Amino acid sequence: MQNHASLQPESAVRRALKHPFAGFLLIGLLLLSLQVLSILGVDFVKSSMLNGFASVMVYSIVGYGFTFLLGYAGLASLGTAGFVGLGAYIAGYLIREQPQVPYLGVILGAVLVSVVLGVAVGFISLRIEGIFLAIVTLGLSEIFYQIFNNWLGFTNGSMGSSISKYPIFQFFQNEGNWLSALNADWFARVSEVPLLKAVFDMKTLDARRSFYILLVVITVGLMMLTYNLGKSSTGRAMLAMKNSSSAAQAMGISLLKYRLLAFLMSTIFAGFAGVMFMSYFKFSTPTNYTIIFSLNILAAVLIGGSKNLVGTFLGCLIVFGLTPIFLQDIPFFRDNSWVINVTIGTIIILIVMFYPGGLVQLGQKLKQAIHRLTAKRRLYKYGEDD
Amino acid sequence: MAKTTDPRYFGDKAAAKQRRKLFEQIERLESEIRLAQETVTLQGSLLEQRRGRKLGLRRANMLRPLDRLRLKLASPEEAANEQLADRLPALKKRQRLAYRLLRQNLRRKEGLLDKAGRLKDGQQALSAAALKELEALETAHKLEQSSLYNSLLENAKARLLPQAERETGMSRYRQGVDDMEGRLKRMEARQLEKDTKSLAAFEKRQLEKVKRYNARLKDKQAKLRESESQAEHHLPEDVILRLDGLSMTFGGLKAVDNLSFDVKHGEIFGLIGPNGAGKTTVFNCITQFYKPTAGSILYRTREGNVLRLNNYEVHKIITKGIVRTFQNVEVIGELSILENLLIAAHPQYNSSLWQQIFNTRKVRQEEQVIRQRALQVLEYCGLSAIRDLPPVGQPYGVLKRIELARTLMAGANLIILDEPAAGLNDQETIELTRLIRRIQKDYDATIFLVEHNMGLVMDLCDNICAISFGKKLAYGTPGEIQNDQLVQDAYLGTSEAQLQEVTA
Amino acid sequence: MSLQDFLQTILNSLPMIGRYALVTMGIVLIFRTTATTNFAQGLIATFGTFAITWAALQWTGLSLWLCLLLGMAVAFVLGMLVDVALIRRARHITPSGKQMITMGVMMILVNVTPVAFNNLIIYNTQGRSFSQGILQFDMLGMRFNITEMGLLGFAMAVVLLGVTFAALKYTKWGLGVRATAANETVAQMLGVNTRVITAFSWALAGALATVGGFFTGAGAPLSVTLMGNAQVFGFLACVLGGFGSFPAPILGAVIIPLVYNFAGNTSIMGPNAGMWQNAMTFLAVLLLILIFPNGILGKKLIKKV
Repeated sequence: MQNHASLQPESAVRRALKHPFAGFLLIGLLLLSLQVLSILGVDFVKSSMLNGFASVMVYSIVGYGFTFLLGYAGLASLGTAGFVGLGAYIAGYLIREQPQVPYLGVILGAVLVSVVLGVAVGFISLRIEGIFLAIVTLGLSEIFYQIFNNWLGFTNGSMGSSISKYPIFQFFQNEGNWLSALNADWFARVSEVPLLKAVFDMKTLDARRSFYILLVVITVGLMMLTYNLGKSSTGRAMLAMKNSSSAAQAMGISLLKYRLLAFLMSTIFAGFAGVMFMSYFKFSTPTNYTIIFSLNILAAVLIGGSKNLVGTFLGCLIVFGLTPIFLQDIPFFRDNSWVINVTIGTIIILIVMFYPGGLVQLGQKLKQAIHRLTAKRRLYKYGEDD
Repeated sequence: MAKTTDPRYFGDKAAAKQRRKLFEQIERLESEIRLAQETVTLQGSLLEQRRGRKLGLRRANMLRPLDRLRLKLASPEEAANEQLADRLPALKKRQRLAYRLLRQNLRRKEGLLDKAGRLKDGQQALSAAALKELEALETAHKLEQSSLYNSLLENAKARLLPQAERETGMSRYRQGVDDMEGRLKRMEARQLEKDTKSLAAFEKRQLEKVKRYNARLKDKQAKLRESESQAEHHLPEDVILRLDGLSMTFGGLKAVDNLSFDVKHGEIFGLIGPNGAGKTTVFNCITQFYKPTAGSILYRTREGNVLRLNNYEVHKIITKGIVRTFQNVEVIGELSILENLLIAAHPQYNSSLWQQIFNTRKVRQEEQVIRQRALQVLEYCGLSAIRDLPPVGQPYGVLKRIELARTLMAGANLIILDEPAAGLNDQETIELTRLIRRIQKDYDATIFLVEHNMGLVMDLCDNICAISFGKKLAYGTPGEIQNDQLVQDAYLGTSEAQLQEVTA
Repeated sequence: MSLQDFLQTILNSLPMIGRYALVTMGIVLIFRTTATTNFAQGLIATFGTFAITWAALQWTGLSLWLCLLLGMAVAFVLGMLVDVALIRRARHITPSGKQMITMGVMMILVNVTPVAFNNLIIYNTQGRSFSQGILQFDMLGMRFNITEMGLLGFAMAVVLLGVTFAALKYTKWGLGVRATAANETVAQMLGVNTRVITAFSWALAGALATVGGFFTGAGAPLSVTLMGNAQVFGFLACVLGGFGSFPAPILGAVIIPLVYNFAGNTSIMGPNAGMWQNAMTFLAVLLLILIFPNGILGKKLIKKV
């Protein structure tokens, strides 16, 4: 009898799970479902929790850019805080003071400034040896910190910059039936249909919630695009540059081009994330952008395994998300916030020293350990096979 | 120093720049054309593969109900046997586990096992009673198997259809099979037609692209020929590389001092010299890792254009067909061996950053085509089996071969090998020598190497240049070099003098 | 700007030069012996300074000199601990990996220090400083003034750095440090106990920086960001001077305070000079570094391939 097992079509679910984007989409779905649960009025999902996830998403965007810089190009920068802050303040200023600028214009403005910065830092990186680069970028970040603190007209100084309303999704701002804000004739008719009526009578979908959903889409989209670039010849060229700059040059890889690109990626992502931060949280102070922030991003990327985007997201969840999402209900952690930071510091050290592969490596080791344990159990129970 | 200001090398600077730009455009166009052509062949085989898989799946799907029907019509024994064959492996597996469990428990009871559950060393077999117990279990298992067969047979008999129905069923089955074959054939034909059409369309698109590129290429080449008259560099036909008064100074130290020699097309050329003679510095100057302090390096490309390499940046050298290996093997540890080869093909990727970010069709095609090329090179170098492993932890000989494979992947015209045999054992050296010879023949490449293993150099090289302290000592065939007094002095004389010093 | 203003500005820079030179010396000692750019240097010093303050408040009868010595000892032990517990075990790790380890240490210390000293946010040594006086003197017919504390700090820095350089040059430890700096493996083979050398370098770096921290903190509110500027400027001083030798970074540590004080001079930089002093200094130093990417006294390294 002919054996058709090899010709059996792989189940669609399994094939989809094998796709590299599956992890990204899964994360997106989880994040989205939380918001949906909250809209449906599930008590477990508090708004502080959603805000926590939103900040994790914003910071993970910074993380993806940094992943390229650190994991692919092998360059460390401590200027991240400054770049993110710049994006946030530009957004804050434009939205508050220049309301005629459309939101896309705001994003574009922040990105353009980031491009200029990225090129500048990229050129610096060509002149400065690798480990000193972190020092120089730290100096750069200090300059930005001074600007955030002192340029009152632009940043409102240490009082912090704030915007009064969400830059987009204005029509969701109104209370009540969210689609009625559209004032459309067809709406009155459509909302009479029983099933749809139930949907429209759900809790209001306000601007914050809509922005959260937009953030999820952006996060997942950027993950995909970054993944594509990492798998392409560009990503490989950067890895080559990180491992052996001389071999890379001999193989036709221009150090200038790829270093610039790596820095551009990191500054653009950081600037964009800054805009997202300002738009979602509507507030930003200079103390957000100290060196601790840069170190946190570094830690998040290291924890994730430096080259793995899902890992970077999880790293951000651990570094930025633990406190607002899970721990703030526990009195001990609420009163002793330093414990978390000390833990993160310890994790950085442990990962660099023992687990350079981060969570990814840890996962693999765990898998191996489980495999070994089951093999041991089998041996104990059934004896050696012969 | 005088050489750099020689007007020969600086004709019209703008014209030279223009020419360089033209070269680059031509290179890009040629690579696009090659890519398009290779995409077409690859697309054909891909479509064929896809068709095969699709039809196979269809066949499997259509066969399943027919198989069920056949089972129903078959004689009870046949049906039972077939079902048994399906179910026996699982049963046997279960029985085997039960057997092992019992055996392990008996062994444990008799103290034959250590803590982890392994048999202790030098322990005798189980006691007779235990063996009996195991035997009993085995008999029970056999019984279970036969009872399974019996019950299946019973079932089949009960379900046996009357003769008449079986006959009509039989004919239905046969018809079904015929039907299936016919449908499959039609489907294949339809699919084939569709594929051929799409392939043709694809080919046409690619050919149009090629035509467009070709037109542009011709245009560029014509422009290049126009500027030919102003070409500032000339080389004899058979010379591929000429060093002309090359000097390289570090601080006050002259690492290379007014060195001149020619490398002829298609030969294996060796550069030898004592430690610190400046051999690697020469390589670094040719590949533009160092910018020479003075002198010129002229090179003839595969297309016959003569370039002054000094004018090119280090990462542009590979696009001219010059690829080097390194003294301390520089492979990319974070990438697999296959991907290491893809790195060498980096200049062959033409897609833009945006295309890569959105992973467009062009990017995917390009990746496929270049991957295909890499697979061929890996096959040629005997690395196919380990292509997906990381190079870290591979023996030194393999790493050297990866580097060689990289030079081939880059489509090298001139391959520069920096101490290829360093760190290899005798067997690996022999294999490497063979590979180098093969490459020179099969790929029509010129090979320029530095090596300390004199046996290898004398055996392999057609011509040799010996240098010491950055200066040329001698040039000639291996025989001439071996008999050269200066070379002997450089290698042996000093060491003899040292020897005398030590003994004195 | 008048000549008096000019000279006074230079005079004003002296205390800062002393402090930064101490921190910088520590950074370069650590870099040369263990190839680590120590981001925790400033925080080790801060920890020491907190210890001094704690001691001075706890035992009011104790001489301030003894408190200073105690703080130095604390930082000495802490520095040694970092080397023995982490850096020594991270030998096989790349320099940037070691850099990240020190960043982790930094993160831990930033959060642990205030808690360990029970959130001391008070004026340093609360009136218990060596002197609050301001020294005035005439020279070239002009009147200059400098705080006595600042002068004392500068003098101490000069003495300490002098001793360190002498030790580097003439003692067995110094020879060991130089040998380790040149090539650790070879030094080890030649019988230099590199473990002791590196541990002692880390410890000494901590102790020296603590002196800097003490004089930084004198009279200012104590917080974990006490040495933030000193840390970053110390690094920049090293890059600016060139990491390649011991004296070169000190040159950087002299230049930066001068730049800083001139950037804060209202007669040059306008009325808002104080506000933009830090930013201007960073900018100027970064530009200088771009002009001298290998350091003012550094040599261009040619990479061997």
